[in-house]
Amino acid sequence: MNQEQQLKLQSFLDGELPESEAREILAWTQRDSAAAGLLAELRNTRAAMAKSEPHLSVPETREFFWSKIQREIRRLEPSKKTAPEISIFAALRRFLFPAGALAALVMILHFRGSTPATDNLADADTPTVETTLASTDATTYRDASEGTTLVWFSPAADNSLVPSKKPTAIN
Amino acid sequence: MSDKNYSSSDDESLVKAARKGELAAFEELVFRHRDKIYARAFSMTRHEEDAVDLSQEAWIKGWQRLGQFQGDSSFTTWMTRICINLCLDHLRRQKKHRADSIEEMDDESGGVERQIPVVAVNPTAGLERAELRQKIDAALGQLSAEHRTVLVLHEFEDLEYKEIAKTVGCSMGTVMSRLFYARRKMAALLAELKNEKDR
Amino acid sequence: MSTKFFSPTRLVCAALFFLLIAGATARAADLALEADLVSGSNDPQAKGTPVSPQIEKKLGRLPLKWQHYFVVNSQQFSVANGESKDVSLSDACQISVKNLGGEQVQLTLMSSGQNVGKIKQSLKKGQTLVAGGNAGNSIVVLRQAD
Repeated sequence: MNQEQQLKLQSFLDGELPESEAREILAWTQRDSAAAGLLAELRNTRAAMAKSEPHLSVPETREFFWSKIQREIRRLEPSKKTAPEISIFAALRRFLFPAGALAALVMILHFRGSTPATDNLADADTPTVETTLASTDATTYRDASEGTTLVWFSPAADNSLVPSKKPTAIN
Repeated sequence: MSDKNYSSSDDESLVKAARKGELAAFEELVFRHRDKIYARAFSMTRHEEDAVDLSQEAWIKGWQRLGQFQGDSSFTTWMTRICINLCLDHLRRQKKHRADSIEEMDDESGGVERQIPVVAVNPTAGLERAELRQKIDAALGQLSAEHRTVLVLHEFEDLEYKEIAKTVGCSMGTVMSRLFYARRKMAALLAELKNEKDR
Repeated sequence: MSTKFFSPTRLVCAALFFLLIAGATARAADLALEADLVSGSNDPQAKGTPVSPQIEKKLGRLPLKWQHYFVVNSQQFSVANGESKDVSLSDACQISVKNLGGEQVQLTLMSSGQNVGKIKQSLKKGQTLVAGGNAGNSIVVLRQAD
């Protein structure tokens, strides 16, 4: 049996032959045991693979798998400029002059009477930390040049933070 | 981002919503079909991390090309094709020249598979479906990327020779030779696995 | 056009009005945040996606014992002014973030549903809040989303 005959057998199995050729191949397999044997093997393999694709699961949690896709989608999408302030300005431009005096009055009252949330924090960049477990301490480090604040919660008896580096603030 | 719960929506509705920019709808599609897309990528690459990366890349491309999805096929079929093309690009970049080269040279002349004796007894007869899947997975891992690709595209994607040739970028003759070799090798591997089990 | 249209008084009123709107809008703005659950390791080949070089640099300057950091989970979310948002980063790690206004946040760190601590902190663009200690080598990195 040469390669051309073998590939014809396969094409016959896969329904890729025109009808006349298919009839010839069928007749051949009925008189040639080697051809019949090879056809049977090909048929068994095809049957085994049909609907036997291995069932696999993504080896990552749903959230983690999605988070990478989401991040890339957002990175690739053109930034959507939503500047409602500007559009508000544009829309309100015709009200500016009549409303100017009223706005000045409101501004004065606003700054006199308000107590913004930041007033409650001694320094907006220094965190205020509250531990909710009685057995926990909190240690804070600030890296001002990088704008990073680390808050580390540890058992009350443990003052060593995370060993190997001295627990001093970084400036 | 909309907080609408899409878990009970069908794929068609999800695709419609996703095309309008609803990322949450697309997330639901990803959640539903990620295993299938990943399985396809793994079948072709046989490398877990590559398969994860490629399947994620497929989803990103799917989002970008949602406007091109016409509904001629199912959404999963469409996504699978995107994934397959990415895997093929990946495999082309990664093409290794090891013992595969002997098989590649013989692809056209049809030498190697002639030496494989015909497997007379069906090596998968009597196997439970789960066990059969496992054996096929093990055997697929032993094929070269080129042979595995045509086998996966023909047997799992139900593509015709002509479609495989177009997808892979080779001649129909090459597709037929590789498929023939892959099947013969698969039969021999499955028989080997059966013999090991019976011992 | 008459020069009276651009009289100094009118220009000052217009400027004050713009300031009022801008200030009010800034205070009312939602905060778009990103929270990463990061695991620290001294093994450069540890499983996971390495954090971005920007975050790696920030974490490297902190008194933590690890050399390498990998993202376990990443969530982006928005919190309206005055509102809170609960985010689950893993089965063992949840956070609640409250937008206190003026780019201030209150981060509540929870471990398996139990409150560990609360942190009130300024979180302007470019600033990063790192919290940990309750869960092995896992830390939470919170910042405004890009």
